[in-house]
Amino acid sequence: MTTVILDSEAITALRKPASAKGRAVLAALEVVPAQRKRRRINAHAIVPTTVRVEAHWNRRDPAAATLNRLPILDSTLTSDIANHASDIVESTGVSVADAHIAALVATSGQPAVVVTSDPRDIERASAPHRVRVIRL
Amino acid sequence: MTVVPQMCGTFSIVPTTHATALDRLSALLRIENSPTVNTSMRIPENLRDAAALVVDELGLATSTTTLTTESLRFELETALWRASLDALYAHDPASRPSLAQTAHALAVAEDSPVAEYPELIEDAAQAIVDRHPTAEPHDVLLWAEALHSAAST
Repeated sequence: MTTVILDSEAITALRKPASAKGRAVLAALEVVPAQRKRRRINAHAIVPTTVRVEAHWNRRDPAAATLNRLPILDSTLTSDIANHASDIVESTGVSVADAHIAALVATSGQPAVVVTSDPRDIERASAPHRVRVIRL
Repeated sequence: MTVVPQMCGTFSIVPTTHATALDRLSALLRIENSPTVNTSMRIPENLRDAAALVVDELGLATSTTTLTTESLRFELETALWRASLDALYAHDPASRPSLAQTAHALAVAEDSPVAEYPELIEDAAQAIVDRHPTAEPHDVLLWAEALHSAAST
């Protein structure tokens, strides 16, 4: 199973899908149907809910219709993930949203691909876990 | 959306537009712990018997129902992904990423040795599309890895 994780810059880019960054995010999302079709892998794409907050993505907002139409799943901040993310913020000083992403990478046990404009922060927060990064 | 009552307590859901159908499909797939229903779906007898064999003799699935349901969910989710992205591209053609871009994202996702060489992937995409206009990202990746391997030896 492959999980494509979007950061807030990726969400912002998706609001302008024809922009260079928007196309880059869509290329990353194309990984999901490509792997499902060819590899029969249960790939999916997620947005951590803290990232949604940071990117001002309210699913009830009619302006979010285009984003909502993509089957990107919410990944909620559970108690366990919050504990993990809290330690990451404490040790690295990254944002809550980046710590949430890193905690998901650390606990997923599956290959995770993070779409981000700031690979350095994500790699630092995810260490010692290796993270695959698609840079915007 | 128009919901048309049918016989036997089932409903035929007739979407008014393609976008509405996608929204409805997405909403249906997000429902957790949906109640189950009996269906009168007809399947080829050989598939029914093959599924029973997989469950009863090979132990590769817990039940025929689980096997069928999980396979159906996988196919529906995959169809939703393809349809959602294609709908976006139809609405805004300039948003479609290039084959090389998609192949590069796939290279990163699959930890391919060519992930660090986007120019090589670009060349592979160009070369493969010349002969195979319907090539897919995995085709490009395979070709790029072959080129990379040949260059390394």
